[in-house]
Amino acid sequence: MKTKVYDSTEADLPIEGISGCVTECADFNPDVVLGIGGGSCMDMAKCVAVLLKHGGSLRDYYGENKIPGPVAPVIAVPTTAGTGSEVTPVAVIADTERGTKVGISSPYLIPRIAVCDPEMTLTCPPGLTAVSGADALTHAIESFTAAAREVTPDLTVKNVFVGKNVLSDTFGLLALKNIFKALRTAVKDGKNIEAREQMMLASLAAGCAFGAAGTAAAHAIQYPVGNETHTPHGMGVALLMPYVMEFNRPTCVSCFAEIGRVIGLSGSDEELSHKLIDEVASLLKDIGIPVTLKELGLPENKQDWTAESAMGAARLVNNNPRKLDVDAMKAITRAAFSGDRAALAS
Amino acid sequence: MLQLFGALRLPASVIFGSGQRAALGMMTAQIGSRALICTDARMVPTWKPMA
Ligand SMILES: NC(=O)c1ccc[n+]([C@@H]2O[C@H](COP(=O)([O-])OP(=O)(O)OC[C@H]3O[C@@H](n4cnc5c(N)ncnc54)[C@H](O)[C@@H]3O)[C@@H](O)[C@H]2O)c1
Ligand SMILES: [Fe+2]
Repeated sequence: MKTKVYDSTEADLPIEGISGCVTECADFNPDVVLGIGGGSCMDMAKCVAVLLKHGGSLRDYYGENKIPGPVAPVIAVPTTAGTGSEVTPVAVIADTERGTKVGISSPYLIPRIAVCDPEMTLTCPPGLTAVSGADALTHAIESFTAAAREVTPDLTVKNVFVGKNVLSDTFGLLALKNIFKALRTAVKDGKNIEAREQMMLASLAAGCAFGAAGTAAAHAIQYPVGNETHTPHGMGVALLMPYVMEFNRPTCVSCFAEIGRVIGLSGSDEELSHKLIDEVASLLKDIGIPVTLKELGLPENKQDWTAESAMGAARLVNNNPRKLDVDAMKAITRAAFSGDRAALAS
Repeated sequence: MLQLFGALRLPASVIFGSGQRAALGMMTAQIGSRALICTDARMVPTWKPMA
């Protein structure tokens, strides 16, 4: 076995770094690519596997189903809990020239092997534990509440993400049960291996869920927010989650109630649908996630721009359980800017 | 009631558990002979590639 280590992966994965890795490693002619680290290193391995096999520029592959065929096998080993990238058909990169993060999604990006060893996360500091755990929470909620599609024979052939379904649902609930059990402890007491195990199981399960069902509005709004504020993906999506849930609640009463029961709440469906949003907000507060887009550094005059840009992520917008138009998106963004969740209540 | 529909797309193997990183060398050897390891500077001081 010959090995070569490329250890210059940068967080958030700027596109130049990926071509740099390919240039440096092409001569080695690898037949298997390991990604060991957070989402950035695993996504690096996925992108490198694509370029080694199909060449061209990553820009050729932006969007859904643009990768022409199988790639070198990837072995993904997460050290955060986390993105779930070890099992997902997605890689997220930063196109520095365009000033945006971009997604590439294709079943060919799914790693061949995922090895999830919770001990790898024992060194994550509290802030990273919180932000990556919050990303997993958002994956689980958004996939479990995603819009269900009309079932046609080409649904899974034409689309990478297919909306809410019975198989992804079981993983979503597994994730949520463990996140509510363990995330506070993992942040407070990083050496607690039981909490680390539960969080890694949760992020893996959340990846299994959203890799098929997809994510929705919180992820759509985070893209422009992240580009503008340069704040971590997990922080932005988590901050937005309670606002998006408040907007979605009328469409999601039974879904929210189902999650509420799994995490140990009780009451009628209607009561649970409200309680769950409060529980999510209180968990996020306890682990130190900011509450408003203002705190995150979004300029006040960028609120409507944020909403309009978010509408551009059509796949995520269409995956949202309650129908979204630009006015609804603006209402969510403004409420999240000022911290006025009640303005979205219905 | 909607008809039941399900979809999962996952790796061929998903392994979970404390200590399972020790299986990486053996697993890699089963599917390749030239392994590129993409990581960041943080990992390298503690992690040694297995022969
Ligand atoms: N492909 C997907 O399915 C998917 C899903 C969600 C997010 N993402 C992307 O993943 C990236 C975020 O990944 P992330 O949150 O895992 O962080 P990351 O990979 O960007 O790493 C952030 C920092 O944490 C450090 N780090 C990682 N593991 C550590 C450990 N065990 N101990 C101490 N420090 C550690 C890294 O060295 C780095 O400095 C973003 O680019 C995001 O867009 C991808
Ligand atoms: Fe995410």
